[in-house]
Amino acid sequence: MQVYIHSPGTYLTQKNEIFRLKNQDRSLDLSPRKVESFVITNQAMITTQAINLALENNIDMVFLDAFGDPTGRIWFAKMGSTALIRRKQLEMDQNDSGLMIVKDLIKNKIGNQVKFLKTLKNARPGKEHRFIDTILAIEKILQTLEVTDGENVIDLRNTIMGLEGTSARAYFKVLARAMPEKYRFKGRSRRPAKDPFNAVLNYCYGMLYGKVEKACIIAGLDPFIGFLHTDNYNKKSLVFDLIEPFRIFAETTAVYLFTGRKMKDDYFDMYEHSVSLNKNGKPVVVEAMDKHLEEKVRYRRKNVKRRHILHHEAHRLANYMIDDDKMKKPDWLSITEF
Amino acid sequence: MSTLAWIIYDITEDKTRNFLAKEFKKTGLIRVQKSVFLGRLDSNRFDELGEICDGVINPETDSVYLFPFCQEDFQKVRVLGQGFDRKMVNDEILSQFF
Repeated sequence: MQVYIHSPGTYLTQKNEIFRLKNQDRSLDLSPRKVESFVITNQAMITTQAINLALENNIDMVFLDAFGDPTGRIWFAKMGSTALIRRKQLEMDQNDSGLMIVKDLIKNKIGNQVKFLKTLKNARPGKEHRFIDTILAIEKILQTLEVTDGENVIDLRNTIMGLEGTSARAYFKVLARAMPEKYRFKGRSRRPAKDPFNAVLNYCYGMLYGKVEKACIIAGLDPFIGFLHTDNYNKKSLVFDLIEPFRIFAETTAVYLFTGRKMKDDYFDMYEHSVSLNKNGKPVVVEAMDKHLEEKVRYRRKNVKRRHILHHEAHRLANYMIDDDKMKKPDWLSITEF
Repeated sequence: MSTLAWIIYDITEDKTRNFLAKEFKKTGLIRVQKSVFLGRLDSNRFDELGEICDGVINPETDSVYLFPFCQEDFQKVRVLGQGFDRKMVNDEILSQFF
């Protein structure tokens, strides 16, 4: 299970190789075998023995800021697997094969979004007209992306980013129209979120980000050597590249939380120019997201939990990198859940 | 493969009893009564625990029962009075908030 420490003043220690959480007169014992990760979102005290116990059992400790983005994590002193992977990763960053991978990832992301829009469309008989135009437009972008082949790396990078941006704007515009009247939003906003939907979506992305980073480290990939600049972050980072096809997990969770009327006004702290999830809302969102990731979907002819797909794909990417003859281009994930 | 398991014991020696109780907790079992543990175990952990118990108990005076248990029967379990958290013992809690 994932353990979220969110009440201030919680004390995390260990006794007889079992984690003990204490907060005033509440206390909870947890076996390291049952814990997958600790997520610390508030002021807590952690003893070094507890950290050691977590490290010995491969449990990662992630620290989140108020937006749900990870600020840091405690992980063992070395990365997984062989350094050869990271050397190859740097080489790919130099030539354009890294960018080809990103192109595939983006194609996948957009493909997933189209499938999701179609699912929403089919669930709303009589209102299909709201979706059809956008779906066609995004599909057209997808086709353009297919044939895009820039003169040089920079050209190609700009084209991909441009197409991705256009498609994302159209996508969120139509998502907004699927929302209940009260929660319609005007486009994406990050840091700060300007409306409840964006607050929830940002929080889900943040959770996903932590998980993708973990998958990278385990697979032996360096999370900091990415292939494409991402819009909001002015740095290259593999995590932001690899997360693209999986963003759909966060988007589906967020959309269904609102369309299923699970979100209430008192889950949010409203300020003049920003909205953030508060202590009542976070558990609801986190639980929905964890539940979504725990579900099994069809993936490469197997039934796999969504959160394990991240790990499978990170490993596939690593294997592709150290595969010298590059003949086997990975066909990116084929999740047939829609 | 993981399975639900009940572990029920009657051990005279304090030292052995405490040692085993710690071992059970370490593997993630939940204490549901003074000398009863319940939880989900990997099947090799189940065997391992059996071996550990076998190594320390006094066969003349003590007894330890390890019952594997299937989901179907677990749904039919009746609990009266002070109960335990069914979801917790069945590993159904994915996110624990504290």
